[in-house]
Amino acid sequence: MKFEVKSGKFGYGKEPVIQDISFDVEDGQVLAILGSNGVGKTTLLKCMMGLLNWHEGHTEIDGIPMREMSSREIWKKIAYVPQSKGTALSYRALDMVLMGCSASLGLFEQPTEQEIETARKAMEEVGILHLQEKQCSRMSGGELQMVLIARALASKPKLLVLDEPESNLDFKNQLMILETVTRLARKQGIASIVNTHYPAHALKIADKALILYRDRNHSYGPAEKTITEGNMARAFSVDVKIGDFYYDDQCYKSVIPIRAF
Amino acid sequence: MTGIGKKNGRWLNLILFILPLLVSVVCIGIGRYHLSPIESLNVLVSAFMGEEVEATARSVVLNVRLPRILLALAVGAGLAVSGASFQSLFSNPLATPDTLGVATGASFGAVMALLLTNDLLVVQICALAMGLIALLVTCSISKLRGKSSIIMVVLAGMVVSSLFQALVSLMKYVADPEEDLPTITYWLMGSMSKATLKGLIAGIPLIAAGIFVLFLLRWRLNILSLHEDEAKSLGIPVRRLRMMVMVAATLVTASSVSMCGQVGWVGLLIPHGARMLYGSDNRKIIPASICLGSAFMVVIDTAARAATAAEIPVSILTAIIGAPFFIILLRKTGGAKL
Repeated sequence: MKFEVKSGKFGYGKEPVIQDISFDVEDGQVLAILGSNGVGKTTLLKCMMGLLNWHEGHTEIDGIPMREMSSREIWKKIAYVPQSKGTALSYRALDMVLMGCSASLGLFEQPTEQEIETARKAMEEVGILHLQEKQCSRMSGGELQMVLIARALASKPKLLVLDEPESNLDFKNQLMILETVTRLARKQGIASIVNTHYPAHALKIADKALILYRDRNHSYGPAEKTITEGNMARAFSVDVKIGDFYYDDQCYKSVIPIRAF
Repeated sequence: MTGIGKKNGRWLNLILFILPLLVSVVCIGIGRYHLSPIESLNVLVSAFMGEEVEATARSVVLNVRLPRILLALAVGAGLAVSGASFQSLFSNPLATPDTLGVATGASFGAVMALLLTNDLLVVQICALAMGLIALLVTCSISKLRGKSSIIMVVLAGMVVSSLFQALVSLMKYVADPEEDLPTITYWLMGSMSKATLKGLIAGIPLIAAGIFVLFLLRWRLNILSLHEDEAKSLGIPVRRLRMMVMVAATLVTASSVSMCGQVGWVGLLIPHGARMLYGSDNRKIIPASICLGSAFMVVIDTAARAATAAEIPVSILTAIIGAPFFIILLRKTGGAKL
C-alpha cells in the first residue's frame, strides 16, 4: 500500500496551521512526525486521515483520493491509535480490542467467535493476552496504550497511525511501544506514522522524518539526514548534540539537549 | 464480567431472564382480591386456552391486573434501556431520560396534546417531538468547542428540564381546574392505573420498536461511548448511529411518558445495577437492563397499588428507592468512573 499526502493545507479560522505538506509512506516504512508541543502534529494526523478536512490538497491511498473512498474502506486500511485517555465507562481489555473489528461488520451485526479470536490474536501479537480480563480503568498508562495498539491491529490494517504513543510512559514501556512499532513494520510490513516529540525515538525507529517548525515550515526526508542538530535547534529552540553510542556492535543514537534559547 | 465465574455467570443469566416472568406471575395475584401464584398461573393459562374460569378471577386478572403488568413490563424495560443507551451515548454515567430533560420535554408535549385531544397516538407523537427537541437543545448547550463534559451535559439537562417544567406548569395553569388539572397532575406523578388493553395496543409497539433497535445496536453503543474521533476511526458512521440511538431512546421515553406519566430514576437505577453485575459491556448491559427494569417496575407498581388502600404514585416510590441508591453510587464511584 502507498499512503500519500499531496500539498495539504489546513488552518483553524484564518490562521494556517499546516501549509503545503507532502509526504508518503509505503509498506513496512515508519515515518516519524516531530515537532514541539502545539505545533500541529495531532491536527496533521487528523487531516491526513480525513477526521478533519484539508482546506487544500488531499490524501491518496494507492493512488485513489481518500474522499472518493467510503469510510469503511478507509478504516479497513488505516488504524488510529489515539493518545490514551480514559472513558467514563470502563471496558474489559478484550472488549476494548474487539471494537477494532467494527469496520468489517454490518451496523446491526454482533461480533462472533471469529472476531473474538481475531481480537485475541491481536493481543497476543503485542504480548498482552494475559490482560484480556482486566478492566481498562485499572490499567497503567503503558498497558492501556498496548491495548489501544492491539485494538488497532484487530482491524488488520496496512497502516498504523499513532499519536504520541510513548508520552507519559516510563522507560520500559516507551521501549516496548517503540519495539512493537518496529517489529510490526519489519515482520508484517505494517507501515506506521508516529507523532513524537522525542528526536531520539524518531531516530531509533523511523525510516523517514517530517519535522514541523513553529514558523509553519517543515523538513521532510530520510530520518538520519533530516533529524540533524540544526533542524532540531530550529524545531525545538534548543541547542542539541546528536552522538553515536556503540554497544554490542550496534550504533545507538543519542540526542542531548544542551540549552534552551 | 466482574468477579463472576463462567458457570455462575450462566446461572445469573438464567435467573435474570426468567425474573420478569416470575415477578409478573407473583404480582398478578397480589391485591385486595388475593390469588396464590399457582392460582394466577391457572387463570392465565386456562383463559388463553379458552377454558372456563371463575368470572371474578377472570375479570380481576385479565381485565384489571394484566394490562397494568404488561404496561409496567414495557415501561420498566424501556426506561432502563434508554437510560443505558444515553449513558453510553454521552459517555456519562449520569445521563438518563430525566437528567437530559428528555422526560420533561416529552411530558410537556404530552400535556399539551392531552388538553386538545384524547387520541393516544397524537399524544405520543407530540411527546416524541418535544422529547427530541429537549434532547437536541441539551446537546447543543452542552457542547463547548465541539466537546461536552459530563458536568456540562448534566447542567444543560437541568436547565432544559426546568424550562420544560415551567412550560408544563403553564399548561396546568391554563387547564380547566375542575376536569383537566387533577387528571394532568395525577398523570404527571406517574401511574399505571389507566392501563387498558386498547391503550396498550397503541403504545407498546412503539416502546418495543425502540427497545428492539437499541438491542440490535448494543455492541455499537460500546464504540459510541468512545471519543468521537476514536469512534470514527473504528469505521462506523458515528453521526448516523448517534441519531438512531437518540431517536430510539427518546421514542421509548416519550411513549412511556404518554402512557403513564413521568416515572423517574429507573433509567439511572437499573443500568447501574446491571453494571455492578456485568461490567460495562453493553452487549450484556442492554439485555440485563431489559430484564431487571421490567421486573423492577412490576414490583414497584404492585407496591403502588397494593401497599395501602389508596394508590401511591409510582414516581414517589421510585424516588424513595432511587435517591438513596444514587447517593451510595456517587459516594462509591466518586461520581465519574464506574
